[in-house]
Amino acid sequence: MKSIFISILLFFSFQLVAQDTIVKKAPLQGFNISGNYRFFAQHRLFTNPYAFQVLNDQPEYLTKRAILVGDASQLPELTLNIGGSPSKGTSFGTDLVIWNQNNGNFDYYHNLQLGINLYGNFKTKFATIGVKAGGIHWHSMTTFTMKSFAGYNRYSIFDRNPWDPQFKDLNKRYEDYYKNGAISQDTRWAQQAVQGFILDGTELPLGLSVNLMYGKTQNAGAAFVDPANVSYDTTSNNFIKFYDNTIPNNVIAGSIKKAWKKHRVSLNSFNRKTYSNALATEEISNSILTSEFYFEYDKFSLLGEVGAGHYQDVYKDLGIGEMVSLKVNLKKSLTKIPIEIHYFRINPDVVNNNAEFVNTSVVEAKSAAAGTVTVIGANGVLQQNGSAMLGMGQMANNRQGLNINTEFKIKDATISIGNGFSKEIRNQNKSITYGHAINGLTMSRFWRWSFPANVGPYNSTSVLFRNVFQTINLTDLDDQGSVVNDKHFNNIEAQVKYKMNLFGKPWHLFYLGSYNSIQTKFSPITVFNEEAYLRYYSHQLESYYKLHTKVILSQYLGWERAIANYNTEVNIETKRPVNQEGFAFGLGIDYLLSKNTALYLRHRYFNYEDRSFELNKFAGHETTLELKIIF
Amino acid sequence: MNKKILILLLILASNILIGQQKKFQINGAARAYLFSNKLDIDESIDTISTRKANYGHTLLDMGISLFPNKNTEVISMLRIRNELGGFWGGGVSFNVRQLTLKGVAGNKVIRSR
Repeated sequence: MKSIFISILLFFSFQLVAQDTIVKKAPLQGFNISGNYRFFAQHRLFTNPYAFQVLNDQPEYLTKRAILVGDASQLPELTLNIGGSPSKGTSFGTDLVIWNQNNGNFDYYHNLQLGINLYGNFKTKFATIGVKAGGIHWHSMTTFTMKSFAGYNRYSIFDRNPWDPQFKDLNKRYEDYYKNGAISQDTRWAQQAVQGFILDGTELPLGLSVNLMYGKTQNAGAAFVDPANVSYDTTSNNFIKFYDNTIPNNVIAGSIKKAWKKHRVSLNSFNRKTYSNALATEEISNSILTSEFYFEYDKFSLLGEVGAGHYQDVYKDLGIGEMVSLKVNLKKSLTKIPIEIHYFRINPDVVNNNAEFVNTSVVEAKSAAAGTVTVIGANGVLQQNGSAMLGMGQMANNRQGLNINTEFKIKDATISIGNGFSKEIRNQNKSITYGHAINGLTMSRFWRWSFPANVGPYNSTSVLFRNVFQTINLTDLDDQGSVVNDKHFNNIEAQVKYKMNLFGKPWHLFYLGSYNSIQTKFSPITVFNEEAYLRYYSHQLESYYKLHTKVILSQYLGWERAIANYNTEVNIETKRPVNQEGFAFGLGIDYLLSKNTALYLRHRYFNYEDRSFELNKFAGHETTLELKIIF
Repeated sequence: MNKKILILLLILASNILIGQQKKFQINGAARAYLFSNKLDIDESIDTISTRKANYGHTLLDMGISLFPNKNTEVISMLRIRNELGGFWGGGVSFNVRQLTLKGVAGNKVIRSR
């Protein structure tokens, strides 16, 4: 009886399944949606408002109080990562973003952030082939061809980036930074954004692998208009209805690599081609050809890249210029503490905005593909230019230098120190530029949603993504206004990370100091006197205490000084050069609401003043609230 | 006892399969497209046409079929298109290509498009 009952039940179940055959099996398997919701709000109260511009000799100040619900970093509220796999070896992914911009309009911002990605993989007898199409794909090759600067992981983590990950253990962010020198980063870290087609061939005979890329990069994209979205238009115009123009602006790049044991050697090429006129007859071309090599031995390793670049447009042909980067890592077994020595030299006539180095010397012709409206993606994003004071390890063209870095532990303290010096190869820049480690993010929020150059009360401030830099003009020029003196650059960076237990709970303390100078003569270390065109020092002290499993208390103290000498432009009234001081004090709480939801509150008192340029000052309070849910 | 649990699990699994099949399905197609051309134009005839062009797109047609009950089907087809060279949301468009409701009510076929 029992077995009959069981049989009936089973039969009934299978019958139900059988009935369902009227619906064909869904072809898309493994469909998934993940993402995050991020609410972000800022409140800013100036006790001393900033004069953001001067009109008719009258300074115009920012409003005393400002509230913004939303992130001016242009990252949305809701991100949905959608993916699926139609068959074994093929998949697609896209990311839909939705954002209530609180402008009184019910038509919420909705868009894709990184576009549509298509993937295919298959294996043959001779190789494993991977194909990627669409994009944005995050892609990197080598230092001089296509890559972003990753740095030495010396930075403040008090302010959270919109893309920072979230863990069910809140303390992991601070523990990771203490232990590993970096908080976990997403896939875009040190990569470049590209669209188009990427082909990867691995497991080729003789230990070879190849990589080819054809398409567009964020510095070589296209410009768009906002046409009527007419879906029934089947004419050929429909295919290009969004483009401002269809002038080519493309990159073709590739590498072939040979690996054996722990060593590797590769040959790499990067080529951009576009046109400076609407007829597409005046060519702008930029070619890079390099060889990268890595050799690892028991006591040391060597990572290097040597190559050449050639830039040409209708106005100039800069010829072929050299690029060299050599990093020797001396291991603990050889020198007791690990030491990295990095030498680099990049010819002033070489440029590649998709590589790790900053362009400070080549004025590139503007691509006609950029269209009539400046948009990100067509002609590149603003970078720090002029003779730039850059962070440790950041390379620039028209420069050669040497950096020495080390990191070691003394009991519970991790100490990381770097010293670098470099020199411009050709004297040509009449200005120097520098950023602000303290309050740089706060300052960038004075110009929300845009990245203007040469703004502020003295037209000396330029806005980058989540930072700003300032320009100082030099005055020690010859009678024709040409630069005559050399420029030497020095950096020292020192970081101490310390962990202790207080009342049985972990307490992380981080100090980061940076000491930089630009001067006319060589110095093995930073110049601390008036010989320097500019001295820039910053100190940042951070504390993170795990009060409870769900609560982290954070504190921040920052101080900076920027002091220029009398070979730089002085203020007309005070007759004195730049003399700036910045200060910040911050408090914060991380509160875990549930295993995938957390609240982050930060409050910062900021104060900045240039004692020589009296309008260049501000002070106030900034509070930010972030609610992040991941799913 | 073990047998009973096994039976219950089998029934449950069957019903889950039914649920997945009946309520919701996703299908569609995607493509990446690149177009590049070069025109040999006599300067004496035409001095204004662009000599070279390059464009393309990636698009995704995502079809969603919903089965609220045995006799009803809702089909929607969403097209997401990203022009080549449009970074950070530039050159993106959304279109609803199909929205269909069909079903049987009172032994009559009802279709709405």
